[in-house]
Amino acid sequence: MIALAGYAGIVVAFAGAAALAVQGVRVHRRPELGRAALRIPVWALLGGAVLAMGALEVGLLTHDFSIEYVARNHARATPTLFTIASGWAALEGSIVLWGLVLAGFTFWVYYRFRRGDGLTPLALVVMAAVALFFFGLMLTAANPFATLDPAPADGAGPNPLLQNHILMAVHPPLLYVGFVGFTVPFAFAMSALAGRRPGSAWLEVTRRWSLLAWGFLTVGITLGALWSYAVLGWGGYWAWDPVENASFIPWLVATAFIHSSVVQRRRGMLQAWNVALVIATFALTILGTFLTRSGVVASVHSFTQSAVGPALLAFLGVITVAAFALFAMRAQLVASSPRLDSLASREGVFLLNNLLLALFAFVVLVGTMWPIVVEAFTGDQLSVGRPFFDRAATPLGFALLLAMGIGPVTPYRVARWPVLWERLRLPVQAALVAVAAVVVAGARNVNVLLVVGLATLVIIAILRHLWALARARNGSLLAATGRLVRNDPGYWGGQVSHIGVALVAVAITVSGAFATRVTDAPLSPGESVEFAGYEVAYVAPLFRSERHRDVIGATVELRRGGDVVATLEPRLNDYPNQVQAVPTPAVRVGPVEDIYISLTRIESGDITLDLFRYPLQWLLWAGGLLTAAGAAVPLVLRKRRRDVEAPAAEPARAG
Amino acid sequence: MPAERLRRAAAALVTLAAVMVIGWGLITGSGGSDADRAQSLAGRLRCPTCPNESIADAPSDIGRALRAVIDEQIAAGRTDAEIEDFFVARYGEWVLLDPAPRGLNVWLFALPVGAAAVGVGAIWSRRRQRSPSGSPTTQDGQPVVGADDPRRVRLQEQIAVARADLAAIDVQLAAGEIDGATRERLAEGYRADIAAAEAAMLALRPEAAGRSRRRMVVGTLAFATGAAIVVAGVVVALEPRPEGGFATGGIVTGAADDAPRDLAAVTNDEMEAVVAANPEVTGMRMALARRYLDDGELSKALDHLLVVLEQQPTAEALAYVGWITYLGGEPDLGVRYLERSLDADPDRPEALWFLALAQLETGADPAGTVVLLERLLDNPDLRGDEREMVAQTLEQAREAAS
Repeated sequence: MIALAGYAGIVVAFAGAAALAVQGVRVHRRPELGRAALRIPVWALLGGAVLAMGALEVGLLTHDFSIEYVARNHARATPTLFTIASGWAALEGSIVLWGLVLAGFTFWVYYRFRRGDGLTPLALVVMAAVALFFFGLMLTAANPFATLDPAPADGAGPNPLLQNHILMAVHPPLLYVGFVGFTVPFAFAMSALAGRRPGSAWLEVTRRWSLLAWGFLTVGITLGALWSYAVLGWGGYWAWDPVENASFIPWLVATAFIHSSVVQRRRGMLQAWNVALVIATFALTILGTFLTRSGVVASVHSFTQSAVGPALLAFLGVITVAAFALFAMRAQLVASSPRLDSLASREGVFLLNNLLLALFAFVVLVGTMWPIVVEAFTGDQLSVGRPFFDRAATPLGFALLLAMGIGPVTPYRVARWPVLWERLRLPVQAALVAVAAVVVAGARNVNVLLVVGLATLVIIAILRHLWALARARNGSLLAATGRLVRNDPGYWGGQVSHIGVALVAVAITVSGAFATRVTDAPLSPGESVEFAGYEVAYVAPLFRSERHRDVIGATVELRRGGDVVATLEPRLNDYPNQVQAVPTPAVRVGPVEDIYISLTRIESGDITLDLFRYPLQWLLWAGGLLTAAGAAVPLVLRKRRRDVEAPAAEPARAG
Repeated sequence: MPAERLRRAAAALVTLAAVMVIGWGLITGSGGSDADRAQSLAGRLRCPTCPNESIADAPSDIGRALRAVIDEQIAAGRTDAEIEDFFVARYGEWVLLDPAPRGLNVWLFALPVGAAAVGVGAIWSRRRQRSPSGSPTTQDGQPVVGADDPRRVRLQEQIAVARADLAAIDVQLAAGEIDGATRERLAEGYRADIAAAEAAMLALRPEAAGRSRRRMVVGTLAFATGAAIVVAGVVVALEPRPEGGFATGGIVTGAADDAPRDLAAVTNDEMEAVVAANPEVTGMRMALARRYLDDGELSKALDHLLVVLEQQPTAEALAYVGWITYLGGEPDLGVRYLERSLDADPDRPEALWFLALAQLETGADPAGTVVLLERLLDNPDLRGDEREMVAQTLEQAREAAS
C-alpha cells in the first residue's frame, strides 16, 4: 500500500517533469501563456516528489518490511532518528532525496517567475530534463519501492557506520542542497544560450541560488570532515578519498565561478569562462554522484554497487556533450573582447584566483580519476593518495591565501604601487610580527610559519580596510561599519568567507604539523600511559547492551597533574548486521588541543589504544562554518535596488 | 608630521626585528627524526588489505605489522627509496600512494603542468591590446537589425559596461586610487570600446535564416555522435573488471572459494603475480595457498593464509593456519585456531580432521576425538580414499578412548 503510493508519487513526478519540459518550451515560444501554463506540471513534480519521500519515510517508521529498501536498511530496533535518516542513507533513498531537492528548487524557480522574464521558461525546461533523468532512474534501475513477498519479520538495519553518529543524518541533505542547487545557475546559463539572450542577466538572476548552493556545499563538506574525524576513528578528517574529492572538486570550481561572476558583473569580462565554469560545476556534481553511488572506486564511502552507475555515467556524458555543444554553437554570443587594463588590478588577481582554483580542481580531478582511467584502459592498478594531493594542495593553497590577502584591497582596473602599499603595509608588518612570535614560541616548520603569516595578512588586510573605510564615513565607527556592509553585502560576505578559509588553513597546518600520535599502546585495567603531558589511565572495561547494538569499550581517565580532566569512553560498537565492530573514538575537545583516543582492540579486559593530540582542531570546524556563513551575508542583507543598477560605484571604498 | 614619522619608524623597527627573528628561526630549524621518517614513509605506502588507507592510518593488524617492518628497515640503515622498492617488490606499484612518474604515469604529472601553462598563457593573452590610435570617428545612422537581436543586445551591454567604467574611473581619481594620466589612458580605451561597439552595431545585418538551422542540425549530429561515443566508452570501460572485487582496493565481498576461472593450467609464479597485483582477490589467494599446502611449502602457504585471515576470516583459512601453526611448534595456538575454525563452521572438514589428528597425537580428550571423526564421516563430500583414511583413524581413536 505504502509502496504503491510511493511509486505513484514517482510516476506523478516523472509525468510532471515531462509536462514541464513541454510547457516550458511552449511558454518560451508564446510568453503570453505565462505562469498559468506551468502551474500544474510544477505542482505535480513537487507533489510527486514529496509523496515519494514521504511514503519512504512512512514505510521506514511503520516497519513496512514488504518494501525491499526498508527490509535492507532498517530494523525494528533502529532508533527513530536513524530510521528517518535511513530514508536517504542508501542508494535508492538518496536518489529520492535528490529528486525531492531538485523538485523543490524547480518549484522555487517557478515561484519567482514573472511575466516578461525571458530566461525562466527554458531554465525550467533544463531543470525538468534533469528531473526526468532522476525520476526515470527511480522508476527503473533504482526503484526504492520494490517489494518483497513474503515480507520478512525484521530487517537488516542501516549501515553501522551511518547509524553510529548523528552527523550522518544531516550531512547528506546539506550536501545535496549544495549539489542540486547548482542545477539552477546551470539551467539559466543553458537557457541564456539556447534562447539567444547574451549578457549577464542569467548571472544576476541566479546569484542568490549560486551563493546558497555554495554555502550548503561548504557546510556539507565541513560536517563530512567532522564525521570522518568523530566516527571513523583513524585519527584524521580528510583522506583525499575519491568520494571526499567528489564533493571538493565541484566546490573548488563553484568557488572559482562565484569569483569570476563578480568580474563579469562588474567589468563585462569572462563571459564565456563563466558559462564554462557553471557547466563544469554541474557536470562535476553529477560526476561526484557517480563516484559516490556506483562503487567504481571502492573506498570507505562506496557502500553500494549497482546498475545506477552506468546510467549516471551516460547521463554525465550526455549532459556534458550537450551543454558544451550548445556553448560552442552560441560562442559568438558570449565572446567578450579583451578588457583587462592591467594585470596588476583587482581583475588581475581575480584571474589569478580563477587560475589557481581551476588548476587545483583539475589536479584533484586527474588524481582521483587516474587510477580508474588507467585500470579501465590497461588493467594496471595503481594508487593516487595523500602524498600526491598534498604536494599539489600545499603550494596552491599558499598561493590562494596570498591572492586572498592582496586581492580584496587591490583597486579595479589599475593598481598603483603606492596605493596598494598604503593598504598592505600594516597587514604585512602584522604578518611578519605574527610569524616572529610563532618562531619565538618554538615553531620551525616552514608550512606553519607560512600559513600563520599569510592568514594574518588576509585577516588584518580585511580589518584594516574595513576600519579605514568606516573611519572616512560620518557617524560612529559601528554605525558606519553597518552601513558599509549593508551597502555591499556581497563584498563583505566574501571577506567573512576569506577569514573562515584563513582559519581553516591555519587549523589544517597546525593540527597536522604539531600532532602527537602514539599507536598501539597496550593497557591492562589500572595501568596508565604518559601521553603529551597527560596521564591516560585505563580504569575499567565497559559493556552496555543497547537496543540496536552492543557497546564494548573502555573507561579511560585523562589526568593532568593528578587531576582528572576528562573521563572518556572509546568504544567498539557491535551491530548485529556487521561482522566487525565499528570503532568509535572518544575525543576531549579543548580550546588548545583535542585529545583523541581510539580503541583498536579489547581482549579479556586488556586494551590497545591509539592516542592522538591535535592542536587547534576546533578551529577547522569553526573556520569551515564561518566560510559558509559568509555566503549567508548577502542572502540575508539584500542589496538596495539603487546599488544593483549602479555597479560601478565601488571606488568609494578607496582607503 | 613628526608623530606620524615616529610611528612609522617604530613600525619599521618592529618589522625588522621580526624579520631577524624569522631568519634565525629558519636557520636553527631541525631535521626530521627517524620517527618522522617512518611516519612519512608509512603515509606514502598503501595498506594492502585496508579500504583506501595508508599504512600510517591503518588501525588493523596488518597495518601494525607493516609499520614494524618500516621501523626495522630504517633501523637497518636503508634509505627511503630502498624501503619503497622493497614494498613495491612485495605488493606491486599499487602500494605507492604517490605513483612514480614513469611510463603512463608521466601524464599524471604532465597534465596539471600543461594545464597551468595553458592557463597562464590564456590570462596573458587577455590583456587589452593597445587601443587604436587616434580618436574614433562617430558614425551616423541607425542599426538595421531589431532591438531584440541578440548581437545588438550584446553590443549594447558592452557599451553600457564601458560607460559605467568611464563614470567609475572619475570616482577612482577623486579617491586617489589612480592618477590623472592613468585616468586619461583608461578613458581613451573605454571610449574606443564604445565607438567600436557602436560601429559593430551599425554593421550588423539580419541573419540568414538558414544558417542558424544548419548549425542546429550540425550541432545535433555532433551531439548524437559524442553521446554514442560516450555510451560505447562506458560499455568498454566497465566490461573488463575482474570479478571478486574492485581493483583500486576495498573490501572484497565475494565468497572465499569461488575461484573465477580454471586455474589448473596456471603456474604458481603466475598466480603469485596475479595475487600481488590484486591483493584483494581472496579466492585466488586461497587457491594459491592450497597449492603450496599440496606442495608442502608450508611457510609460503602461511604468508598467504594470514593475508586471507586479515581480509576474511573463513573457517577454511583458519583451519589451515591452525594446522601449520600446530606443525610449526606452537601446538596450543594451533589448536585454538582450529577451534575458532569450528566455531565459524562446525562441519568444516579440514578443521575436524586436523583437530582430530592433533588430539590423537597429544592424547587430549579421546572421547571428543571420536565425535570429531564421526562428524567428519557424516560429510557426504568425502572422496572414497579420504573416507577410508578417516574410518581407519576413527578405529584408532575409539581404541584410545576405551
